[in-house]
Amino acid sequence: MNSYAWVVALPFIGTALMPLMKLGGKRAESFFANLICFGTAVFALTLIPTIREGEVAIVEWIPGLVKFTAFTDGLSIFLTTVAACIGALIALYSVEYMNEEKDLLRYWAMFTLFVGGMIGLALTANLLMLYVFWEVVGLTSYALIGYYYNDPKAARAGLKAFLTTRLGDVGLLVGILALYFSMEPHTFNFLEIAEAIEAGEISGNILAIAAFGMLLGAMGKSAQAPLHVWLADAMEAPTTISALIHAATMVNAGVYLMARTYPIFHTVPGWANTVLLVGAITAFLTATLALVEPDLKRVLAYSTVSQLGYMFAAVGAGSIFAAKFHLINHALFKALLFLCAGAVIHHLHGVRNMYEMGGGVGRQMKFTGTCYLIGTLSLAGIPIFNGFWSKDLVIGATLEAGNVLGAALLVLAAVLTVIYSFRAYYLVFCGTSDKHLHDPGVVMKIPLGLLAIGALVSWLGVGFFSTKMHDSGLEVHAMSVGELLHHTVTSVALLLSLGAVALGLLIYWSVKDSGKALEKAAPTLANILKAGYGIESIYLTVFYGTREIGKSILSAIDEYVLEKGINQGLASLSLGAGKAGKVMHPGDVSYNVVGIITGMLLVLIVMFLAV
Amino acid sequence: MADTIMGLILLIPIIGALGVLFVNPSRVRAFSGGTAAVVTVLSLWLTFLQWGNAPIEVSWPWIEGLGIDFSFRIDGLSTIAMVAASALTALAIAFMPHEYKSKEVEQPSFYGWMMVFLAAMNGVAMAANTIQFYLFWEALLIPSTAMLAFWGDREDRGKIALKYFVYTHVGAVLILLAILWVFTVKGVTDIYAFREALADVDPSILKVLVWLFVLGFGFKLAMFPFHSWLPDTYEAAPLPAAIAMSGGMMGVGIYGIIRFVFTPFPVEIISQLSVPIMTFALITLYYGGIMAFAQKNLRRFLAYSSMSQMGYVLFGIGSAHGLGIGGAAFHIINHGVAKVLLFMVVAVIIYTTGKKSIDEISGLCTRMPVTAFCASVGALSLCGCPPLSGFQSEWMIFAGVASSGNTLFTVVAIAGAVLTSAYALSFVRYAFFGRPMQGAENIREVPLRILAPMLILALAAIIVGVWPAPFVEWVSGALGSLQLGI
Repeated sequence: MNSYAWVVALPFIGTALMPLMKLGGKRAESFFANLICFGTAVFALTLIPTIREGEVAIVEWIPGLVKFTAFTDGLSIFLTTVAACIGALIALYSVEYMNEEKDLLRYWAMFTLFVGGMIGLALTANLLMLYVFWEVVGLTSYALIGYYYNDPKAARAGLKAFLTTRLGDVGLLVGILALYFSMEPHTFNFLEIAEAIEAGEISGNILAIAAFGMLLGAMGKSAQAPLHVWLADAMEAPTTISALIHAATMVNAGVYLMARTYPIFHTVPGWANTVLLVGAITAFLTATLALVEPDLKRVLAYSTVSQLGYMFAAVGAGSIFAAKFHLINHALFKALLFLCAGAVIHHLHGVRNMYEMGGGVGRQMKFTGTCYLIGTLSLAGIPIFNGFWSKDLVIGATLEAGNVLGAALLVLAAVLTVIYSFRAYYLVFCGTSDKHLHDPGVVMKIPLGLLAIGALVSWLGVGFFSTKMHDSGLEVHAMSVGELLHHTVTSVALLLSLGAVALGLLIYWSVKDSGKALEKAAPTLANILKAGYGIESIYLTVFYGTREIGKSILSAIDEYVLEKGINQGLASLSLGAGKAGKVMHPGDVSYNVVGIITGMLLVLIVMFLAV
Repeated sequence: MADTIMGLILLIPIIGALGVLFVNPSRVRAFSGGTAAVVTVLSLWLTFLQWGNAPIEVSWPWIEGLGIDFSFRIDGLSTIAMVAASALTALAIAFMPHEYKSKEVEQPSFYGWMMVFLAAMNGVAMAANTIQFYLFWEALLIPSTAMLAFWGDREDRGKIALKYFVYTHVGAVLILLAILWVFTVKGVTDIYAFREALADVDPSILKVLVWLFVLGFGFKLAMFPFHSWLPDTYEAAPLPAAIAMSGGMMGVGIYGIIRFVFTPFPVEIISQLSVPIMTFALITLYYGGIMAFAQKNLRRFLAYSSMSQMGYVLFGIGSAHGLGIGGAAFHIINHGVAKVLLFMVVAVIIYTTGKKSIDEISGLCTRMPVTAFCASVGALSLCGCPPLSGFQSEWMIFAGVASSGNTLFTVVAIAGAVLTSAYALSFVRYAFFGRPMQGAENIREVPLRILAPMLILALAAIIVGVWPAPFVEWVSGALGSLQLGI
């Protein structure tokens, strides 16, 4: 087996063998899971030198229909590396963080299954396999959000996440099947499909269905508006899972899909602009929600959605590199922020409300505070931290694409990002506290430290990323660090992003806590934001409304039309017609027969109208 | 060899049904479970013998005046239906917990009827001519009605049994009409000779014939608006019978519709049929799904969910595409496994808590983690989530619908999976997650002998989902040998 096969198979082997580790207790489970995750990370790293154009075949899954083929280009390999490496770091962190949980087996089984699913998703060049892995990571996300299943909120959030993403997946599967059947001979192979599209062999309609269908799927997975409602609730998961699945990896799958399909779909009228606007609107909309949110993890969740919006906008603007660069940077600093938040919440015994935390955590958890600050500076896009560079590239790309509305929304979102991210830091870490807190142990510090270093320096790898991506046949301009500096300093976007940061800082200095300030200045607006613009209530209405339709209308059809109306009503008519009938047929039989005959007449009418 | 096995598959459960009366009542369950297990092994053996070969046939002269033989024939499609029916019936009997001290069900004759039921299902799948098919199809009704009427869980079980009987019997009569037309006009009873016999029939007559078959099987598949027997039956049927019905009998219904509608009729007729069948599929899928979502009673919930799943099956066959019909055939196995698993879970809930309504239970996962795991696997498989088996047949069905090029049907069929997820996972959420219900501290996980059949099914759902290759080969081989014109 080569590295490609190993990197996909190893996590699944881990999942399959995990139940055996129950024999060795918690330590064995954690040790084995880490072994698997670090092994996977090593294999993933060995893939980087093999980055090239094309694909490798690994194994036939359904004979003649589905073969596992892996992409070997930068887009796939870098996502694989991010998933495997951050997965390994978080696995290490989990050893101490999750140590007090009773049921670790479930956690680790789903953890490794997720890593495998995410890597499979990133690598596969077969669209049906992509869908399979797409659903597998959705399944693990569902299972891990509901990890604390006795908490009704967690149970509810898991179901909500599953259903919302599934709604998007309808589009994804429709898109995949439309492409499959438009090919002769039918195939799920992405490269063959891409070739056919480039050769103009697939009709515009099919292409439009596929393009917008897949966009819907990506919006579900990456929590883009209006399908963003599940991610904030998903914060009921253990914080390690929030960091891994709901910040650093799975939610990037949508961005990956858009970047992957951009070359084949960008000619579809309106598609690229839709992607851009979906991203820009989401970035702005969810940034406003973060302004008033009292729950630390939910603030981070909204910021994740907002940053994913930036990546969508970048893809829509045609800059796959900006999207991918921001994806990697965001994965690092957001995982860092979540893990720091997790350490704080852990020590505060599960308190997530920033007002209840009482502030002053930074004094006592110096290491954690410093790491969190680095993450905050990156998220806010303060110069030289990694978030700054990629955010600047994204805004620049949107400007170049000529979408002023999109660029304006992104700049506004950048202002808001500064305000809400510093607000969270201020509320949690600044001030004084009489609580006795201490930094986490060394096992938890290692991942924090590594991620913090990553958030500081990952932008220096720009040359490496872009060259590798360029070399593997992607439409990416190979750009050295010097060029990045030059490009950044000379672009209009720099002015905008620096202006946004300055404005954001100014507002932050003057109000500190945007939530309280907004409540005082504009209570109605604050309430609207707290209600998430009422988008969630629409979904709830549909969800419970469906059940009500079943309870009322359809039950009435069953009860009154089919049972009482047709079966019994017509039977009593026929009974009234003559007592002889009653003697010959007991009432029950005849009412059923009459009902059935009426039903058949109905069907026969339909069939002759239709045929 | 094969003919002996075919004979044994029918004879063993019939002898078993009589034998039940002579066995010590305390052993009767083990005895009948063992009998069903032997039948399962035999049907697997038969599958193995038939795999990749021509259909195996055996016949004896029967009604010589009319030229009708008593003959059995098995091909790939038969083996799928037989293995599903036998294995699920065996598990249904094996599962029956001792704790369930229902006097009636412990009566030996109940198991006798179960054996007859099993024999009839296999008889349907093996019948080589239409007369025999009809005979076994009707024979299926007798044990199921008897179990419902004598051992039903509801006071008005007599009424429900009657309703079940009348509904499915009318369906059978429609099938009989079509069969008799072909017999009297064309003189053909051999199912394999149907296609040739129908080749030169006037299209307008073919249309009537095909609708007789579709409606006839539609009753068994609880197609809207003929579903009204289903919720009552599933609610009232004694649990082992309900389990066998939901897995085995539904599968036999799918078998019938593939055998009689999609094999013999010419392509033109079938493709004309496509849109109307998919329309009924759509209504059945959503009607059943929304009703399942609205149910409080656990067993009615499963009944409506079965109806909704048959909507998928109708979509698959209505697509008139190889993948769609393959998916429908594959769904015999996958829906059977998932639904029987969920039925067992519901049975366990009813035994341990004594509650029958979803409103009265919650947080059971704390006390019954293994059952909760099985419930999750069953529910996720039902909503077509990979890597579980339900996905494998559902995507084939969706692909079939997509091949028709009708975007509307494709979208609504696939969106049906969201509805399925909503009701199936809501069930898991309310029953197993959330705060433990009152009195939960007295609830214990059921013992291993009850968990074992559930774990076997859960494992089957995972294995078929992760490594579908051999099963897809089984299904595609089965359909390939039918030489569908599509």
